[in-house]
Amino acid sequence: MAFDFTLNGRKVHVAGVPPQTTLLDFIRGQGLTGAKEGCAEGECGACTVLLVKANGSGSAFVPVNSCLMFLPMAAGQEIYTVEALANGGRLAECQQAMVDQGGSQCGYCTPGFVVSMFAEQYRPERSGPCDVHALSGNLCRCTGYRPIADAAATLGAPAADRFTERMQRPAPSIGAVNHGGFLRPTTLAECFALLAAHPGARKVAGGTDVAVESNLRGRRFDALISLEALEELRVFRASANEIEIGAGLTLTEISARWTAAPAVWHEWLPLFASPLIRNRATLGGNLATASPIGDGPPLLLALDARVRIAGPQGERMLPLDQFFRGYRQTALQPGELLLSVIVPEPLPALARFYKAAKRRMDDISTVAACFAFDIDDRGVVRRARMAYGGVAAIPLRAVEAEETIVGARWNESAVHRAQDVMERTLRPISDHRGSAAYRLALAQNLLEKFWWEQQAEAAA
Amino acid sequence: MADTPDYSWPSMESRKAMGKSIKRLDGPVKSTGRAKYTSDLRPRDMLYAVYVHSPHAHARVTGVDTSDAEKSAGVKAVHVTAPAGTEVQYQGWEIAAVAATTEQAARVAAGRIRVEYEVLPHLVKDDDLSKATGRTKQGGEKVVGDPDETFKNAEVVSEGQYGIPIANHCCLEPHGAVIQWQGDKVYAWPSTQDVTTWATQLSPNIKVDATNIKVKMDYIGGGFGSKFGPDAWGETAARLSQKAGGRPVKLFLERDAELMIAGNRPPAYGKIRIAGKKDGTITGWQSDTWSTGNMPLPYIIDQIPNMRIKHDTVSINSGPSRAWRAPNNQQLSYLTCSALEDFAAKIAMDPIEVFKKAVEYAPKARVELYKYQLDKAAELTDWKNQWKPRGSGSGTVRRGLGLGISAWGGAGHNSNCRTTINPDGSVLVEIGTQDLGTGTRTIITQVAAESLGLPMGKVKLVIGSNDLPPDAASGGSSTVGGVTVSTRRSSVNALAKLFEAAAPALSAQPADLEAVDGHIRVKGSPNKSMTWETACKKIGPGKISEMGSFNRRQPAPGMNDQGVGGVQIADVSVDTETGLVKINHYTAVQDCGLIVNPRLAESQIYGAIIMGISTALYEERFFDQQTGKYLNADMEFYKLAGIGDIGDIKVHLDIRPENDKRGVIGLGEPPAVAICAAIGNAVTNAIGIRVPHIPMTPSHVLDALEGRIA
Ligand SMILES: Cc1cc2nc3c(=O)[nH]c(=O)nc-3n(C[C@H](O)[C@H](O)[C@H](O)COP(=O)(O)OP(=O)(O)OC[C@H]3O[C@@H](n4cnc5c(N)ncnc54)[C@H](O)[C@@H]3O)c2cc1C
Ligand code: FES
Ligand code: FES
Repeated sequence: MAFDFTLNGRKVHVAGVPPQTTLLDFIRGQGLTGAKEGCAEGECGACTVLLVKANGSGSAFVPVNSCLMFLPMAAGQEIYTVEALANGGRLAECQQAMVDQGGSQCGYCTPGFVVSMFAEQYRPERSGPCDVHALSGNLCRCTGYRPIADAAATLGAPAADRFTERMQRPAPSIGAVNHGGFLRPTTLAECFALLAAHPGARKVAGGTDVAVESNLRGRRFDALISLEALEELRVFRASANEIEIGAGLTLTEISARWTAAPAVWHEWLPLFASPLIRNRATLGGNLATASPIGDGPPLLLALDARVRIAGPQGERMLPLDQFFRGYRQTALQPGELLLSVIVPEPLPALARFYKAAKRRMDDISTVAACFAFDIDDRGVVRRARMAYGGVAAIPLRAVEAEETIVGARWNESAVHRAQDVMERTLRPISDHRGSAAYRLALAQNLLEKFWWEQQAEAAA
Repeated sequence: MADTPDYSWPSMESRKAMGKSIKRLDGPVKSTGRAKYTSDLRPRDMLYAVYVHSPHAHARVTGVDTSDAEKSAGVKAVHVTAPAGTEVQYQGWEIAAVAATTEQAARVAAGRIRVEYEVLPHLVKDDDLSKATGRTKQGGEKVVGDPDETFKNAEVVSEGQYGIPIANHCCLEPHGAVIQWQGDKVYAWPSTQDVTTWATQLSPNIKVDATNIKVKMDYIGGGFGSKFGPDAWGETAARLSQKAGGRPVKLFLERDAELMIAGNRPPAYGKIRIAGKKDGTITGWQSDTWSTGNMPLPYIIDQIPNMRIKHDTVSINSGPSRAWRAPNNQQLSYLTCSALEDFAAKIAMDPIEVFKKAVEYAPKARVELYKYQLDKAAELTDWKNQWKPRGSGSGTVRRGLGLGISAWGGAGHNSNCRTTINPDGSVLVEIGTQDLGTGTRTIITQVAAESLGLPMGKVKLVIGSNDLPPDAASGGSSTVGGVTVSTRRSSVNALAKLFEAAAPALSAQPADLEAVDGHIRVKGSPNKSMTWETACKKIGPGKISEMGSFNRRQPAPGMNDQGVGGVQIADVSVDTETGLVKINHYTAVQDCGLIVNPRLAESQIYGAIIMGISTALYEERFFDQQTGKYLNADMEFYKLAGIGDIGDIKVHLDIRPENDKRGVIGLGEPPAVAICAAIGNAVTNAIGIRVPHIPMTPSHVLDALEGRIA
């Protein structure tokens, strides 16, 4: 019922703590109050801490929102907080840069920014100055972004120190947990047994959806079954005719593995939440949560993806467009889970992803669209996929609109035909993120934007 | 000692610590996470308190049953703040609170409090006066000159509808306090902008003498005008602590309550008509506006000869209004500058020229300043070449430029400071102020170091408690003007005493001495000198401890001043297919006085602008009209600007001898005023039509473009 983890280099033994306690609350209770709670929903980044995760044969420091980790998720992990970064009186380089550039006003957000900046500076693949987008999961209400961006810009490669030394060694591997209703099996077979034994249990992967439900809506789960230690969900396989992506890989992990990812993936990824969220959020969680405004579904629907589903009875495969059954409902039966997502090759020649949201970065979409086309040398559309989020209770393809243009030339009048069909067939909802009329207009305009951008590219 | 010492600021060229971009002193504690905010405190035996809030926007409480909660595990105290009979006026109204040994236990117990309500009709919609029957108060009409004739005979009349909604302060550290009430003493650690008078506000509510309420705060995670008094939660936490036998109680609002009840900047809506001539001269103004508070229009240009001004107030079921960084000025600037821009478009004139004519109606003393600033801003933005007439752009992404102007006071507040010089040479400066993140600590230390001729590191500063010489609330950009003068005076007074002690050893008169670079020396003969430490040894067994103060009623000409103006220009791109607005460049020309620390001043201006961008583009509350519920009281959908949203910001801080000689003027608020105005005008300039309501979200913009606005 108890477990250990490593916090700032010290072993911590946890017993008798309720399983839905957040890692943030726990570390603050330990007196490590550098990490703050601004929102408890992954928006502000004031709670950012570092996880040591595998990177090749060594490790990397991965920044995450500690408010979205249930404490037992930390079992077996190695975690650092802002307090660990300075070496006695010597500040870490990013801390010194924040001091030198005047990166704090009230300072409440500062530790979170510092941790994100540290991780960016020590990110193994990084070259050149720190990317300020690495800080897009951190909010500052005093809005001191200018000097913070200046601080990030001063940071080059880290000097050799105890952290770079730590990166040479492997990351801890995480094992089984059984802590007051938080269960983390290490094999699929165990997982199915647990799911059968706890029919009311909630599965959890990265927890970026589930922990929000717990923190903000006060949901208490009979049991939580963590999928994080299942190697079966962490495959990544690229062959000549398909790419298989494990449902349990985080978006950051997928990006690192999918070296030949198409351009549309690189368009899609930075628009998905923040780096902090992407370091925890899994693709499986994004599909299984079946949000009508999730970003994964439009992308994967447009790429004709299939899902591999495993249950106690064995496995089955389902085209993704048959997976979403109703508002936040999927074809998953109780006791089943998503194993992986399969994207067939060859990928469409032309694919773009658009996300219309209030803010460009780190915002949930009002409408998201992915268009994937194959067009032959005569300019005739051979395959057209127009997949949308935010235009119905489920993510969907605008199939009728697709049909009006397949076999025809791809030109402005085709765009207008498709838009007319959308006018008749799409029935978006109205809510505070956008009225039905606004969403419909967006769905139509995004297709037009796709067309115009192609013209511009062709001209260039 | 002779007559009053000379407190005036050292000349610009001779300053050693002041006027320099010294790094913020609390940078290291903040960046290492060691700074302890009130919400980080955990005194021994602390209890955690959780509120029960009203889910209804308007209701009468008919019963509160706490019996289950009192029996709940870990509960040490329960306090009902809205007993049966209370009429709840907004969602989030505090009903009762529970203090328990853990946060979880308090939450569980709070869930066990049963509250019965009689739900009453509510009004949460503030942007439609026709729906507010019975909720409005006519503010009467103010008539100047002959508006009717003026409008009848005008060459041109422009007209527009404008609105700027309620914004939430959304401090990253929510409102709250840790409080311990033991016997006749209360120890309070609030998150407050007013350490000195916080206790006097709590005192009558709990009937404890203010001198027995000890207030302490080291760091605050944002306030922006919303964190002055103890509020309901101050008293609630105190009562819970008393009921729990004097254990300290921590009561902080959750994020949803923070958004619902702890900070509403009043809205402003209305119709404005401007009468004028084709040469850009304005002859008449007519405004018909409403808000939850007062909105004295027109802003700045209030000397227009013919005006009819009508303003109603409407009461809605929404959390109470609080001051917001330059209270009401954003709203007034938005309404006024939008109307000016629409007038300029109507006569097809460059808005810079129209604004320059309009500011003739500003208070006399500022007219030339605004003209200068308008020209300066135009020059910095290459307005002549970059600005294009409204709506003349084409393509899907269109660019536009827009203007906004501002005015603010920034006078210093009452402040007292004590400077102590010890025989061992150490220096202690004490002042009951607070540093909201504006850099107050750094600035006080700069002034003391400058005044004593010492390096910054030699001065130890203590702020943040009501045991210290009283200061006042950090509001109205008043802190810097107050603390710099009190610190200067106490330090000069203390130094005069040190001169008396050291003079005999230098065979000089005290008045002939000066303190420079850690030495006390005879003016004009630098070799007759001793180190600061040697001089301090002469103090004798005691120590020197001198007060200095600033009182608003006794102005300190040349030391501090008030009254600044500013001009800002937004350069935006609008995607007409999605409605997304992007800030390309943002330029601020800011009037100022003596700048103690340019880096800190700039940081205030950058911050103010980005906060303004956030309100101009993203921040809005959504209500379910049926139930009266606030639908997005969370940070996922109450969106704040992030690091990628800021564009390229250019600040022109007007540091010149003629401004310097005015003395110190507060700067935290004035640059926060004109952003909605400038961005609204830039968007309109880009797309050719007015998007009436802030924020300029994609849906507001696209609705305007596609004619979906009623
Ligand atoms: C601040 C913030 C920003 C966000 N921004 C975006 C965004 O821009 N775009 C977007 O699409 N989403 C966004 N999200 C939502 C969320 O991050 C994603 O949906 C994420 O992919 C969920 O993955 P997870 O592993 O964290 O899921 P979890 O929270 O662990 O699980 C989500 C759901 O899926 C189920 N589940 C998880 N894995 C499996 C599996 N393998 N088999 C069966 N069921 C499973 C769980 O039971 C749960 O019901 C955001 C969330 C936050 C907090
Ligand atoms: S507390 Fe805001 S992201 Fe975790
Ligand atoms: S410095 Fe105040 S929130 Fe960032």
